[in-house]
Amino acid sequence: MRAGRVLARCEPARETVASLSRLMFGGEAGDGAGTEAAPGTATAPNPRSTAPGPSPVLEVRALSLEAGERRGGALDAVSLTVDRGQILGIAGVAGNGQAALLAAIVGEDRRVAREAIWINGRAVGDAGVEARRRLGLAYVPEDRVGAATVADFSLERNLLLTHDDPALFCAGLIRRRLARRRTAAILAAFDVRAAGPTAAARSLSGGNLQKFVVGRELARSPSLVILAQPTWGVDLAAATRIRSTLKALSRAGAAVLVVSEDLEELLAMADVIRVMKGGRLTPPIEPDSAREEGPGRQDRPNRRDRLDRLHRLDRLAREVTGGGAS
Amino acid sequence: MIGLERRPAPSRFWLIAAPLFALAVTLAFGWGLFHVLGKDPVAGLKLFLVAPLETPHRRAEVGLRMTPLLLCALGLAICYRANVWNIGAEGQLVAGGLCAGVVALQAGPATPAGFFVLVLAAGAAGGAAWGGITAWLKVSFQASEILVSLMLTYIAQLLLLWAVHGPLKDPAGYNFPYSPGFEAAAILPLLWPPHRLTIGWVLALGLALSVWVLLARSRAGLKLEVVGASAPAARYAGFPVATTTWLVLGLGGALAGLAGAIEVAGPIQQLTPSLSPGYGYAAIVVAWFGRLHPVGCVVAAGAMAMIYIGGELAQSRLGLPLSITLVFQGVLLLALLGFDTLVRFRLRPVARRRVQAAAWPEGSAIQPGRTPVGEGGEVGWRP
Repeated sequence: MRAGRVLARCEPARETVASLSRLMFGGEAGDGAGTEAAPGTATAPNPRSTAPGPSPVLEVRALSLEAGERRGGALDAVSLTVDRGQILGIAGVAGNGQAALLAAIVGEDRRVAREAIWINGRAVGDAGVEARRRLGLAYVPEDRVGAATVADFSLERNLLLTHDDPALFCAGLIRRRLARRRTAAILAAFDVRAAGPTAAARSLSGGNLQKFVVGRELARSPSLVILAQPTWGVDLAAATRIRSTLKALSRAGAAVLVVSEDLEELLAMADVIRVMKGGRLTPPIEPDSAREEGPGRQDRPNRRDRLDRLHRLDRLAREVTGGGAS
Repeated sequence: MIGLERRPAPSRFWLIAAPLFALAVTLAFGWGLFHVLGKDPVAGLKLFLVAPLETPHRRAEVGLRMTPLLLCALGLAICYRANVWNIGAEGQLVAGGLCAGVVALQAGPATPAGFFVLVLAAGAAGGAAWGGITAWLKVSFQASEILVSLMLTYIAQLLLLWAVHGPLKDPAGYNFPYSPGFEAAAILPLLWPPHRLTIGWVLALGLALSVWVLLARSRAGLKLEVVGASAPAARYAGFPVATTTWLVLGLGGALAGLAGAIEVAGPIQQLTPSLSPGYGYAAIVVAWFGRLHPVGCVVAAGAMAMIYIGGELAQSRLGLPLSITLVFQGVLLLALLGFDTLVRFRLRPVARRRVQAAAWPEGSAIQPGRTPVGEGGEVGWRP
């Protein structure tokens, strides 16, 4: 059923996710079809990120933390790097330290030593959220209603949570017309179903709000994007669009770190996958066949590599659950 | 049984309508009160609704009364939007008035005109410092700002009493607890002679406009609203809660302190044991009545000033005690809080839920016979 009309009847056994989603979204959600839909605002990377440099965009050096009062889970000597153009996926069952790691990387946890976290070659472990944002970090948290937006605020006002470039202000006052134009551009580019820039964040569905948040963060042309569960509760077309936008962004030189419980999603996107368990990270696992398809790789069609994919899923799942599953 | 059901979004209609309904309930209550007391209800209510605006003198008095109410309410609105429950505007007003008085007493006959600007600045600084104590205790020791700011009101009041009984007492004042009267340079110019209304009224209206701009258009205003609305969102956006607490209590205190200074350097013109008939507390009602919006606060402060004048008229004309003003303030606030429930909830008939005794385990927090509260977003109550 689409837009109030029944378009097709089908036999569940004979349909695939892809074919159904094509029916649901009129072809938009076909594998890779969303790649072209990547908006211009998001593909132009920050000048900072295109400058050649030997250092990785994000580096975490032997970060250990006691379990915090807010974000449960301790971290045990976690080290990782994300390079330009790389998508690092972190898999794992929730509650194994992912939230603590994210809070430390984005600056919400202020107990971190200065030398433990490096962004674009600068030690920022002791810097605040705003300072790291100015270095090109963008963060899409798991909690899109409580944290990423304020429910009672308009989308236009929610834009200003993370958009703080001088162009938006004139003598300390918000340039509302510009904020409104920017919000409208994000709504259009990410196909967010909302009444307009002045609609309250509360009035959007979870999926549409997530599209807005992702759009808002990517519109800042970040050199480093951190995402937690980026496509949770998001419809298939939007999920495809978010993934393809992230891929386009990484091809343009940004570094991307995705924390997800969805192994399929990580296998489809990530260049390197690491598993988090009990506050530790496993060594990198490369989704091998993704390499073979070259830099322009896309979500593979369902029929190809199925066995191979299942095999790797099984290996990952065992890492995640501690080797118990066979 | 009637239940409350959470609305998907706050109702804009009730946001505006709640104060009007509350006003209607207060008037109905007033009608009943006058009737019970054996007074003519129409004449009684006229004293509050019409009489305060009848003559130029009374209109000026309404302006005079609304000035401190408005300034305190603006400060409180800033605090409440940031989720800081400052109850101590009265104390900040007294502290500001005391500081302003100390500075005003330094003026002599030869002091140049315009000295009153320093007096006002001292009042704002004193109020900000008093609010700062609350901020310090809240930020450093997680003390409840509700209790701290309320208790500091008594301390400020006692400090004032000590000052007028001790070091600031007029040596030529027949041992009355009053400071000497201020010199002309320390006194605010009148706006509309011979009425007592001073330029403080214009200043208050101008500040209402500034607070409006601050809240609606500035990044600082955005930050304090984010901090007030959602702590996780403030953490996410990197807006510091501690700094915001300092800022709003400092600003709120400064506005209340300025109100104290305007009272001291305006109608009172000396330090006395009592600088305010509870303006700081009435301002809490004004801030809520004005929907925490600066323009709403202007309207609400005017209405509250009329209640003050009406109470005085009721005292002189009908022989009613002055506390009738407090009664009306209290009823207004209670009615407003009641109707405010409808901003976020709507009334809906609910079927009486049958609770099986066996469904609740031994020692469960929810026991049979009691309506489970808050389950499924509903709050049950039996009329």
